[in-house]
Amino acid sequence: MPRAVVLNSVSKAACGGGTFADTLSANSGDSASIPNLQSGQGKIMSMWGIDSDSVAELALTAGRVESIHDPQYGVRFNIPSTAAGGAGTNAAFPLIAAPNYLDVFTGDTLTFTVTTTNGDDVLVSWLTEYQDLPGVQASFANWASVQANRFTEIGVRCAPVASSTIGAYGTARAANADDTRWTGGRWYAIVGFTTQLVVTTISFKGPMWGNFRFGGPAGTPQLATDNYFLDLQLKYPNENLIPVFNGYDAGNVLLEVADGEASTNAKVDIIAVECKNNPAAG
Amino acid sequence: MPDYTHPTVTLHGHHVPEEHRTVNTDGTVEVVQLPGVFQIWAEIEGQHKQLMEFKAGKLISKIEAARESSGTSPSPQ
Repeated sequence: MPRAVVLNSVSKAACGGGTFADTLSANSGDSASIPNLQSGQGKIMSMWGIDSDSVAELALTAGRVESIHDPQYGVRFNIPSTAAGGAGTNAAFPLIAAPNYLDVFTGDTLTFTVTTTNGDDVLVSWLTEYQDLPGVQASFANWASVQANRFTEIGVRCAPVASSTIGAYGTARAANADDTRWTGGRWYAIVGFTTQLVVTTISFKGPMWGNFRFGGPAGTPQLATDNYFLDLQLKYPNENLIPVFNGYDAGNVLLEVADGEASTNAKVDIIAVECKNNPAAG
Repeated sequence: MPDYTHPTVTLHGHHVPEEHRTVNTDGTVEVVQLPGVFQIWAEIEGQHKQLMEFKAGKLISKIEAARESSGTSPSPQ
């Protein structure tokens, strides 16, 4: 069964404002549509978002009542953007956090409408797990397997910058662009990351994850991101959620940042356990 | 009881722009200017204490847009 865990984002810069008057659009390379799944089902494991200027309320709707209660407002989420230091200082608030989740089904399209203020910028990202996505064999491990293969630990700097278009992903930056200490032939399990500035979304992408994005938030309430993927895996004990790559592929591991502000340089340090053998195998 | 020893405190704004460097595979270096952060500092009897910091991008672009629309020149830094 080809399994995948995929990060998607939707955003809108310069919203018109009003009661659920703005609909967010998928970022470049992302989609709000659920692909054709062999098992017919997937689940949103984590979701976060920001309005960079003022408080907002999001309504997430879809076609299936088994997924989201109704097509009127579905699941409504508040985004308390003016809390904790004021607007523009938070970057991301949790909307769905493990172990809770939302089921999604083949052929559905998620719709995000938002109540916000004229001129605001809104960005929402989420991680969806597909148990059986044809054509993908993503490389993820669990913590027990990473521990069993552990050799040492490394933190590696990578400095992707968010787009000058608020909410969009900036230019992709290779994991070895700023720090080349990855070792070819060794396997790296990314347990999390740290940042110097808060940002809404950090994305990792590479052929070892089916060329789909994987990633997490780095907002004020979620700044304990050094173990983000490890913590997510521990909350889903039966799922492999720690991304793994070989040091030879470091140049193909691409980081991107999407943020509620323009051109943010989050200065990411990737925290990884170095393994002699592939912890994602078997 | 706390005393209100400094009823008037001066605030300063500091714009801290940033350079982002990329070393290309051909060895050339690309430098991009980023908006960086804006800091609010309080001055208390000559001592400076940073109160908060936020990303400067949106603030700077709004200031520039306002200047363009009003035709005013930048204020002294």
